[in-house]
Amino acid sequence: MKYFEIGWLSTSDGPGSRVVIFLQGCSQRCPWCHSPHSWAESSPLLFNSSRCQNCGMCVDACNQKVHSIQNGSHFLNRDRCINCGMCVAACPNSQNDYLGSALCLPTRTKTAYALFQYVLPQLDIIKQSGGITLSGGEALLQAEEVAEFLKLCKEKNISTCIESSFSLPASRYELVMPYVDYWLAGLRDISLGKNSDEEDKNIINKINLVSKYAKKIIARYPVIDGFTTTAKHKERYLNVMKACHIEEIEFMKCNENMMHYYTLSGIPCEMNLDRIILENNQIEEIAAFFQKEGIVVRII
Amino acid sequence: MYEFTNSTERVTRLAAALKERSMGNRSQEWFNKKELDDIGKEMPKETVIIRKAHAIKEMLGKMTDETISLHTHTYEIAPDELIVGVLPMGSNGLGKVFPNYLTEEERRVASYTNRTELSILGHNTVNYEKVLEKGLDGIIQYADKKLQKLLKVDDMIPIENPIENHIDFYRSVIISCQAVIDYANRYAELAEKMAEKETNTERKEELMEIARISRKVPAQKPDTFHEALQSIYFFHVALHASLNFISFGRLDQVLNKYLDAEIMKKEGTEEYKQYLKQCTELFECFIIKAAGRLNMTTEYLLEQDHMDNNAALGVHPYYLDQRAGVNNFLQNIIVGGQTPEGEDATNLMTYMILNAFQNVGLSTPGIYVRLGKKSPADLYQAVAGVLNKTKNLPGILNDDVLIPALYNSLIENVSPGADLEEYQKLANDYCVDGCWEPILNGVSDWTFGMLNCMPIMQCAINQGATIDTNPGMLRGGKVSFISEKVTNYEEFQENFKRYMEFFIDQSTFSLYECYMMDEFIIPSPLFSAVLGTCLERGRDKSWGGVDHNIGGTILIGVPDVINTVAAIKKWVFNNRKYSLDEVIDAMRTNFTAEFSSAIQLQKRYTQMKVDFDTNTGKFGTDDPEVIEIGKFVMDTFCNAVSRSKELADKIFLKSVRNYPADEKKMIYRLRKIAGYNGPSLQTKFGKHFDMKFTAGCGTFEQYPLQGMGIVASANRSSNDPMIANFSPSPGTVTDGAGRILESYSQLPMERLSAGAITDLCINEALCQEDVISGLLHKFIDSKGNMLTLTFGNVDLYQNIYRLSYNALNSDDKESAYKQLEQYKDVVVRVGGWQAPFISMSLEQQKNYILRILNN
Repeated sequence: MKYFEIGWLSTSDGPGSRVVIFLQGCSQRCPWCHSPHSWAESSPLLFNSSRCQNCGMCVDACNQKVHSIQNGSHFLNRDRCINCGMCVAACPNSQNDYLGSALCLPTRTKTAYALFQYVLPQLDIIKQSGGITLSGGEALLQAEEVAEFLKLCKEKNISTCIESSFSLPASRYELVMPYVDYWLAGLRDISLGKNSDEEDKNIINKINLVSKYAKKIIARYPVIDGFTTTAKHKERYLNVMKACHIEEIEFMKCNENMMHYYTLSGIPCEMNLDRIILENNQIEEIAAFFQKEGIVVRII
Repeated sequence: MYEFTNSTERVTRLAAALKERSMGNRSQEWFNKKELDDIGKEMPKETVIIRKAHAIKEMLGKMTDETISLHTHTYEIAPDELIVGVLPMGSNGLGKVFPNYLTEEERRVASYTNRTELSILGHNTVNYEKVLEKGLDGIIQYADKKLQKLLKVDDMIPIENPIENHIDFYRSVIISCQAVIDYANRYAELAEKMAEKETNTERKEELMEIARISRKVPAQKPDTFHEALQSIYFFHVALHASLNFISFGRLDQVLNKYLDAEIMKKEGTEEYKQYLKQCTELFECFIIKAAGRLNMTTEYLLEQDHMDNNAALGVHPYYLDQRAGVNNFLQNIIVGGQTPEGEDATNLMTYMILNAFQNVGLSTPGIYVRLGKKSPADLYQAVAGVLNKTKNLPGILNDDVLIPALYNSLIENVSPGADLEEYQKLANDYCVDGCWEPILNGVSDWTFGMLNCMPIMQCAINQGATIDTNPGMLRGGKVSFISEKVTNYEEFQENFKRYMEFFIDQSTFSLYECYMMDEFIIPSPLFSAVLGTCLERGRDKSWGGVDHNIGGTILIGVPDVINTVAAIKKWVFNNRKYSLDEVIDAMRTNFTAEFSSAIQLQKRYTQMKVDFDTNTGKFGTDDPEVIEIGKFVMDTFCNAVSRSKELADKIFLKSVRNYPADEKKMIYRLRKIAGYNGPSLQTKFGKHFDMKFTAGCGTFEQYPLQGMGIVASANRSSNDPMIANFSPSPGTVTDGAGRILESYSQLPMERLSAGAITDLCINEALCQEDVISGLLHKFIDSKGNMLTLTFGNVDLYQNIYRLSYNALNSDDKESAYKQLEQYKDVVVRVGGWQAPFISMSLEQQKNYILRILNN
């Protein structure tokens, strides 16, 4: 399984306190995404200039001549980077697997079993109050490994949760659904309101399919001004929720630090941050709309 | 299930008053040596133990002198107080004041062995169950009966066992115990006087009750909960006033039987609830009294420094990090765990004590809870709740590891046919002293030596010398024998083992030697009156009084050594990227090329530091190399301690009669080499006498000073603090706490019967009660040894650090100190015990902020 980050103790990714594994790879490319390094099969080199002391150790270590320091500034020629990791190893302010490093190649690969063993000690701590969440990226791009991983969790009676867009083929959902207790349905296509009725129906079918096994499905709604906030968006979303008998929704504010990983990864961001972040009262207004319909609302 | 209640207004006021006082200048509250009579001059012909007893009497007398109390405030009953008596100023970091009792000549000789009247170690525990049961009157009567009998016996006693010593022991017990009773009576007088003048009828009644109780205890057996607590407190004050910083022990076991039996039958009634509330209030008053010596500001510490060379452990001077020990009074309360019979010992008092600690929120006394597979789920949940609210209380002791560890230490080398069940009972009943070392509940005398592991590791790679920055030392500090250069990991291991053995011998032999001096410098008649078998045997604890002497060796800096060895193994012995000489030079020069022109060398050093710090597995992870090295270091240490015990026993402990003729001569020769000419300890004290050697890993609060003079190593620059206790290096392990705890399951933690404490700090925003409960279970299941948890807040700590920095460095110191006051309730765990964050040094604060697990 390929992943790029583990949250060891999260309280905002499913019921209770959870370990969250963010799996690498995503087919969605949501414009408001704050993890652009999750998109590709492997994350590009992340470079955090505020942690860099311009010592030049990376310049010497890199055979590809990616790094250069000119007039006290550190430049990257990313086109030449082959993700070999020599610069990370040479950097005094970088630690393997630590996202707070000056340089980091966060993508890791482990077998489902090894990854499960890796997080199990922490799951021991939180299994009374929470469990595991597989997020992304789009977690189900790795559906086969995910199914294997979840099976191991269920053997240990650990609560499982998956965050997914429900935009992948139904077969992937069928593969994992017997082992999933909670679904976080990040229905981006619906919140974007671009789908045809037929496409919506398709998503509804998939949710209804997995809900036969699930304890609960929680809808997630990114609140992005200009993208997901008009009356039409809300109504469409509500209709889908009703069709799937989803009774809970979580509103996710646009991450104020969403630029962080664009800056670090060198991936260009197409959004203008100033225009998409809503005030709290505006979010509450949207939430009220759903609340009125008897839906349990939570703002994250 | 016990229901937690909140503090009463009285307790809130008492706690606030103490906090206010502790933020002020307390330097005037210390005793002035001139106020205390010099007992050494007054009665030089008396034996030391008799003089000590008189010194105790003198001290307790002066504490209740009305004139002196005008500045020491030691003879006062403050408004609202229900528990009375005042601890005179003193602490591990600031020192103690006590009457002289040695003669001029004794003091001169003691300078040679680095001893003073104040050298007393504390670090022990009273089992108050027995003290309360007998009452000091009972102890005095017993001593008197023995004394009368001895005075009738003629000179039939063997020469090694002079009868005078027994006589003087009982006399000194009587003098010192009577001094405590007199002290309590003077408090009764004070309470009566105050009651006469008191106009508020409610308070008047309280004062009359205080007077009645103080007339009764600690002389007689208490009958009520209030009487029991007051009795314990009077005795505690007397011990601490007489230099013995002795801990409280298992108070839930002691106090439970003093809860009113009739009311206990009425569970659920209003009367029952009211009664529990009253008892909780009394216990909270007790805690606040025990915390009376706190200094919460760093502003007035210099004026209160009363330390001299008394802090020595062993015959070499040992410098304490005094700043770090300012608020360490060596007093802990232990709850939960098992009964001697091995049943779960959790009782109502366990919960009430936790409740009281949750309410009061002071950094002393410490509280530890014993948890294990026998502990009820309710207790785990209650402890999680208290941790969640207090952010750092209580500390956790793992019964599943410590009981077998202590049992194995106790039965090591016992004679065949010994009653092993008795040892199991002793192990089941363990507690920890005022620091955190496991000891037997009120029946053992604990002493210990501390040894820094980093110089041992340096010797192993540097041919028996420490790595020293002084070029005049050539290879380095010659602290040990010379050896060949090591060229591979196996040779390193062999060398490390030999040097470990060298230093362990040095350290553990001195445990016996120091023990033999104590009798003539720091006998403890008051403590011995209540400790183990001392009273029955007529022997002070320094004169073979107890059946169970435990001499621990605490190894400092083990995580640092493991991290550094892991780096050397990987980059020098395996990858051969650097030579060992190169590494030694880099460590010596703090990874800094001596000349700024040596650009290539500097690059190499930087590369090496990067490899050491960020490209090598770390202690606190399950990296197999690191686990292997951890096992190796710990096993080498524990084996060396056992090996040392065998030889030490031959020289000091066992009678030569146990050995064949030719070996006898050898043993005499060994004794001479050790500088000892006397008879064996068992000849002197009897066959019962033994000292068990135990091993532990930790730093206490001393880790900043312990790093001074130690050259750079993995993840630390020269002179940086060592890693606190047995924890991961701050900032190096960023996986979840579960993985850190799990890493201990692969280490031989059950061999460390002198304890090994892990201090974790986790971002408070992430931890709810259920998660904390999960953490506790995980720690117990992973077979960790001891654990402290703090739930911390980076922003808060950084803010305090900034203000503390300003308080020392800015133009507007006063405003910084003023602003710091609002943070007086922020308490963290440092080296096992608790400290108000604002009272810590900048170095410690900075180091602490890095520890927090944030994801």
